[in-house]
Amino acid sequence: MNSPTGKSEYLLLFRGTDWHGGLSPEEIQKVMIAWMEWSDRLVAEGRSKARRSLEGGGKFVSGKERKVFDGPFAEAKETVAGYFLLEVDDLDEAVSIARDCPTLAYGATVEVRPMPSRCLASELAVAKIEDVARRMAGRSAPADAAGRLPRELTAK
Amino acid sequence: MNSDSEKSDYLLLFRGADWHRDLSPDELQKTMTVWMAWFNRLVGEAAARAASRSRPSRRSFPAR
Repeated sequence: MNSPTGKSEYLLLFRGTDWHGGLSPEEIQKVMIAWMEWSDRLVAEGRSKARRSLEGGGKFVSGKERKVFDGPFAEAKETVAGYFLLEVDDLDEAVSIARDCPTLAYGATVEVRPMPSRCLASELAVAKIEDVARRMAGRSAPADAAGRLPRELTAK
Repeated sequence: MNSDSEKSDYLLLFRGADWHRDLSPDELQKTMTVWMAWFNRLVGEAAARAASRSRPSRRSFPAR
């Protein structure tokens, strides 16, 4: 639990900017209406604290030389198109919400990431040095390096 | 521009969960300290900007 309400926070990252490729304008609008109804309901229920869509473009900064590339640095299906910040009881509830995402049926994916109550960097900056390696030993990339939901969750 | 402050919003996504693999605990902690200093400076600058925007403009009134 990591919010003042005793609930936990999760970030839903919506991936895929080309899900609408084979749809007519009418079909796209129908999906968007379903999306807004879903999103507004989560806000009204107090389960979604923030939501934003992301524009295309942007930049990608990488490496010791801090080179700047045109971004986002991912294929369309991996590109983050937006996010929700959820405040829910647990991971199961966050995943349950993710499964209702209207664009899943069209190839988009949703990444569900738990948000820690405290910033890891702020803790490690002041931790005893022997605790630093121990704390980081358990941190690695998600089991699926791309952070995708299992395939069975992306198919409706 | 899309925020109340007439600035634009951007999301920085930090990619990579294994950047620390070859670092010693000392190096790792040093990096975390630099990270926090960077982050806190950004937060401080944002707070300073917000404060300067909300400060009432100075106006002079004729003495009575």
